[in-house]
Amino acid sequence: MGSKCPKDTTRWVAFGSILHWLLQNYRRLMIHNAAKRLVQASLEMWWVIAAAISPLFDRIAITFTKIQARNIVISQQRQEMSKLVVDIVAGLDIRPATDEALEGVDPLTIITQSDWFILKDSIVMHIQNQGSWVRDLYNALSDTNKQTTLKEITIFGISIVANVSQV
Amino acid sequence: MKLFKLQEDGSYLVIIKNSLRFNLIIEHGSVGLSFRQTVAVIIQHRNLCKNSKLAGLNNHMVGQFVRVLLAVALQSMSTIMNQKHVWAFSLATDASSHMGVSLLDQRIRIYVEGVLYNLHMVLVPFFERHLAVNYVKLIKTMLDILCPDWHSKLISISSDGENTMTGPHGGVVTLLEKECNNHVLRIWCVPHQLDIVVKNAMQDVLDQAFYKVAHAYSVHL
Repeated sequence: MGSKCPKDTTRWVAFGSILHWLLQNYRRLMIHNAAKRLVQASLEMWWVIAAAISPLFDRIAITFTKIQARNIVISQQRQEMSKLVVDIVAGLDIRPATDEALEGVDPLTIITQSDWFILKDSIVMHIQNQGSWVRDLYNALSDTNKQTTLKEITIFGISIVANVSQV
Repeated sequence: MKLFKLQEDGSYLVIIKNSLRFNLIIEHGSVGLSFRQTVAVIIQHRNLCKNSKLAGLNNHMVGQFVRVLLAVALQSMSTIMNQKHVWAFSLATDASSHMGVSLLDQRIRIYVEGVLYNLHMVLVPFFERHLAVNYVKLIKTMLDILCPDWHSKLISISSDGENTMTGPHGGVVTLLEKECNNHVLRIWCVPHQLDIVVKNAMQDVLDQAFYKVAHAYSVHL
């Protein structure tokens, strides 16, 4: 293919580079999948989720690099983790699921996970911001798959925010 | 070892007759060349430059010279740790595998004359079972030699979140803590924590199916 897919490592933050490569080579991989009839050939929904969470991996990788600097102290590491949370919260428009915040909000328009929630429209906007081919893939999904896609992206985003906040 | 000669005062003396050869070996080793590669590079250099001072080099000699450097480094570390005004230091422990060999990595953070040093103490192959007691035995042996008073000077231990390391009853940190005279500050490495957060978040997506597809691509392509 002219380039090689990065190998999976024991470092989970490096998983982002695999996603990045797969997304960059999406069209070539589709042709490759069709020719080889791969068992692991993925669904459209998988690609939409990959495109949506890839920017989060990019942002996490920046923090990961910074907190590994030789001259950084623990308080600075905490600051970097806080910045990561703030950026992901802002990027996906994640909101705390307080009574005040949920008041007047239609439950069908949000996805709630633990103590947080996201407006479905916010995730759709995030997906659309990833490029026209991602937007077209998402629009072509069935309603059930659309809901599943939104839910999975929410789970990933909120899981990162909730757990990084506890570090 | 013949190279290390025991002196009357209990110290060891090493005489390097050919300093050029020694310096070259150390310089080549410091950029990551293996013993064999170091020998091959220096022999090529000798053949091209017709430099007779570099003659007679072999793998064994490289090993000996690296041991000398290691001994000097450990002695320097020991001297620093045993200074009276150095009243505390911190350890960072991690275990890993490389080419099928388990390794125990040990760093030491120490404050000397206004500077906080982060020294790489040792990376040793580990042939016993990966039990906390075995790790602790190795670390204790090392510290007993380098700084017999370590029980009073060790104030902090950082590690990853592995149960072997941080287990509340028999983890490496807990066992070392019991050996110390002071309260020991435990630090759970933040990058390791971030990695675990990403791992858990990733595994939740499509009940691990998402990860499996990406992994399969990674293996296949």
